[in-house]
Order: sequence, then structure tokens, then C-alpha cells
Amino acid sequence: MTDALRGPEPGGAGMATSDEVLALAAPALDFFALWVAVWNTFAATKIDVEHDIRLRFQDSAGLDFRKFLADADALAHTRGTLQSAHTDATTATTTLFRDWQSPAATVAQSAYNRLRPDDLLDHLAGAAQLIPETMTHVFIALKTKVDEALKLRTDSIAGAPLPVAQRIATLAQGGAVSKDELLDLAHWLDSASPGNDLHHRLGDCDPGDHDYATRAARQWLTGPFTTEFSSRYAAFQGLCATATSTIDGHFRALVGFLAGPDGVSTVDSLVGSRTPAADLSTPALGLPVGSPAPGLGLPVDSPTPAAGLPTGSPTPALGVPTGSPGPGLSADSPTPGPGAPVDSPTPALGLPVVPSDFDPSSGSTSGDLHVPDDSTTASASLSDLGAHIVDPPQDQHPSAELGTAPGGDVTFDPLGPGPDSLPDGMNGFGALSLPGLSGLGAAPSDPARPAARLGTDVFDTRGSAGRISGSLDDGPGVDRR
Amino acid sequence: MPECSHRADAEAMRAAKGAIEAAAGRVPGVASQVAEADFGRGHGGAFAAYRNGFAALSDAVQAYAGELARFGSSVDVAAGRYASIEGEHVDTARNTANR
Repeated sequence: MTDALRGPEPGGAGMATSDEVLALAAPALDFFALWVAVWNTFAATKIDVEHDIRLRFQDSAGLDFRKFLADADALAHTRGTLQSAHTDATTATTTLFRDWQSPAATVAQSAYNRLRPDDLLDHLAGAAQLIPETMTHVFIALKTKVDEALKLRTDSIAGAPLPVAQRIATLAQGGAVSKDELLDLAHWLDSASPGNDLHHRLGDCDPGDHDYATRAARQWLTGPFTTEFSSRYAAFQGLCATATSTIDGHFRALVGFLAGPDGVSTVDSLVGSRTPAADLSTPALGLPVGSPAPGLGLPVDSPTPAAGLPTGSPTPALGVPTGSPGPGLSADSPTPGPGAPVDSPTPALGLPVVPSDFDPSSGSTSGDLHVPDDSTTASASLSDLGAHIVDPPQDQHPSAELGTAPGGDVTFDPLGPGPDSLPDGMNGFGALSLPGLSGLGAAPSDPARPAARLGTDVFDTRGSAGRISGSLDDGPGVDRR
Repeated sequence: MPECSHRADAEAMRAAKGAIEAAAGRVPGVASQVAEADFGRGHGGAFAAYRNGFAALSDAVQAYAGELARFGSSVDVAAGRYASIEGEHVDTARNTANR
């Protein structure tokens, strides 16, 4: 049955909204609406068809699969673009760091290498995959709900077709019925409870005296009818609750994944600490203001060696020995030459004094780049998504709550003990054949039918004329694969 | 390359900056189309967490793009300084030679 409908699929195929799925259960809701009318004639606890049946079933109405799938598409597209951007940037930096080599370049390269969006890419991929999966699971939960609701339909309850049940309900309320109709109902009630002979006794009663029949009708309603109908109604309520709970569970799993590692999604958790440059005090590669980096050590391989001096010249730039004040240079600001330490102050080059926390060995300072380490990861990887999302807990499955199907296995004795029982000696008149019973339907003489079999029967008889049983697969406009 | 050697090409750095910033500029923003009502009548409670999670992803994407752009900008600044320093050295050398 589950193959008969197409769930929500990217591109708009399949069901678009939960309303489309739920609408297929209309026959089941109508079934309950009709039988509730019988129930409400005698039951102390009335059932509100609109609130307890229709609205209850519509718990998940309004869910738009398409918008979720559009979100998934957007995330997948974003991931692709992000991946492409990262690849292009990495290609550019590979070339960059081939042409630019210095301690500052090393720091910059290190900073770039930490700007890896791996976790973010994984998380985007996970979300883009999980959202459609969630929609599929939601669809399956809804479809199961519809299927199970349709299985609850039946042609008769406690052996009585709806018209008979309605007439019995009228009789039980003391409503006026004709003699012939009364006898018809008595015959039916007798057949519903073999061994009783209400029909025969009523034939001896005065016209209008049908107290016995009224009591028998009440007993049938509060006995077999209540047993079966309340069971079906409870199953209906149960499958509604199960579907709601299952869908809630899938949504919890989805938002739990989106929330990220600690349950709270943050940029930091996905791309590291508040990203390097954001906290930088200097724009140039994140080196602190005054960092010697860019101007440090005139490049040995620079195409424009400092002051035209030969590359690798032992003579410091401008021919001024390192540490010696050179022309135009202040005495305390030695100009670095080729290979000069990274931390060489170069005020003469217009660069402020090196910060005190600058590490000459690494060419970095504690204030530089603030690139996050590589340890940040998205909390839930794709491999974590499986079990709790794919399958709802066993005890949440609708079938787990449906229990045994109602009907069939109820014994009914309208003349049995109890306040409404007929007086002793009023039964046992033997069976009478009565013409014209076809309109009352079959007597409830079928053997007991357990739930699973009932469902199968209902399914198997779909399409048979005159029966209301069926399943979701019979829904209007349903595509069959 | 020998240790502590240096090499810098301002033009190459600026070219890299351009490529990096172009890459960063291609990263799109992403916004959710899902509203609370789209969760269905009985499941709207999940909406806030969904919205926040989605927004965090979007923020992270934008943050990465921003960092990439800032990195490119830093490379550009460094290239400018290299070029400037080189110019200063040329001037200084010229002045020294003329002295």
C-alpha cells in the first residue's frame, strides 16, 4: 500500500502538502461521523465529530513539503557554491604562496589553511540530506495514519449495518416504531444473540408495548456496539496521537541536527572562532598594526631588490649594516636587510614598532590572525543521523497502538442478567422465520476477527460494490507505481 | 628556498587577492522559505529551533565568505606595503647615490 503514493520529492513530484495526504482519509472520517450519531444517542460521553474526529485527524494539516524541500535545495546549492569558492580560493593561494615567501607569508598561509570550511560543508550537506529525509518520514507517518484510519472502517458494527444500528438506536430511545419494524428489529436482535426469542415474545405483546424490545436495544448498544465502536474509536485516537508524536520526533531530530554541536548552532562551531580577520587589529594579513611583516626583510628574490642591490648581497639594504643607522634612518631603527629577522623593527620603512608579543621564531604575534584551530566540528555527522530518524520507536508505530481489532468476538445476550433483563420465563419460545429481513443485513454470526485479519479483509475487499471498506490506495487520483 | 629567504611579488599578491575576493563574492546568502504554518497545525513548536538552526548555517556561510574576503583584502594591503616599501627603498637608494 505504501507504494501507491509518491512522497514529497525534489522538483515538485509527489505529494506537495500534508493536506493532500490527509484528504485521502475522508471516507474514514465520514465513517466515524455516521456512527458517532448512533453512539451519541445513548453514550454518556458524547463525541464531537468536528473536534474529536475531524480536527483531531488534522493535527498535521498545513504542512508544506515543498518549502522544506526548497530549503534543502537552497542549502545544497549553497554548499556547492561554498565548495567551489573554497577550491578557487585555495588555488589562488597556492599560486600566491609560491610567489610570496617570507615569514609573514608563512603566517598568512597558516592563517589561510585554518580557514577551512570542512565542518560547514559537512553540516550543509547533512542538512540538505536530512530535510528531505525528514519530509519522507513525515509523509510515511501521515500515510500510515491515513491507511490505518481507513482500515478502521467497516460495513457493520457488532453485526449491524448502519441503518439497523440507527433503527435500534431509535428503538432504544423509546421512539415510535411500527409493529412490523419492531418485529424486524426483534428478529435481528434475536439473530444477533442466538438462543433468544425476542421476536416471538413481541408478537404476543399488545401494540405499542415494546419495553422488552427497548431494553434489548439498549443492551445491544451498551454491549456489543459499545465494545466494538469504542475500540475502533480508541484506535482512531491512538493512531492520531502516534502520528503526531512520530512527526514531532522527526522534527526534533531535524532541528537537533541544525542546532549543531552543543544544541545551539553558532558560526563559531562551523567555521571556527569568530573567524580570523574579524578580530584583527590590522588588516594586512592580520598582523598587528606595526607588524613588520609586509615590510620585513626586503625580499631576497624580489624582482626589485632593495635599492637595486644584488640579491643575496651580504650588504644590508641600502648598504647600511644591520643595526646601524643608515642614511635617513634614525639611529634606533635599523633597517633590515635580506634575511633580517621577522621581528626587526623597521620604523624607517614607515612601519611602527613591533608589538611586544611578536614571536620572532614564528613571525607571528599573539594578536595575529586569531584563526581557529582545526578541531571545530559540526556536532552530528551524517553517520549520526541514522537510527533515531529513519525509524520511529517501535512503540510509536501506529500498529503498536491499534491493538486487537474490535468486533465479532462479542457475545450478546439481550435477555441476560441485569436490570434491563427480561423477566424469567419470557424467552425460549423458539425461532421464527420472518420474511423481509434482507433489509436488516446479515446477523452478526461471523466468527471473531482479529485486528490484522480485519485489516486484510478490508483491504482485500476494496472496490467491491456496496462496501465502504478500503484503504489509502483507493484514494482519488492516486497514482500507482 | 633557503630558510629565512624572502620573495614577494606585489602584482601576484594582488592577483591572488582578486581571485580570493571573487571567490568570496560568489558565496550566496541562503534564507529559509519555511514559515511556522508550514510545519503543520500541531507541530509549530519546532519552527523556532528550525529557523534558528537554518539562520546559523546561513550566518556561518556568510562568515566564511567574509573571512575569505578579508583575507584577500589583507593580502592586498600587504602587497601595497611591499610596493610602498620598495618605492621608498628606491628613493632612499637614489638619494644616497646622489649624495
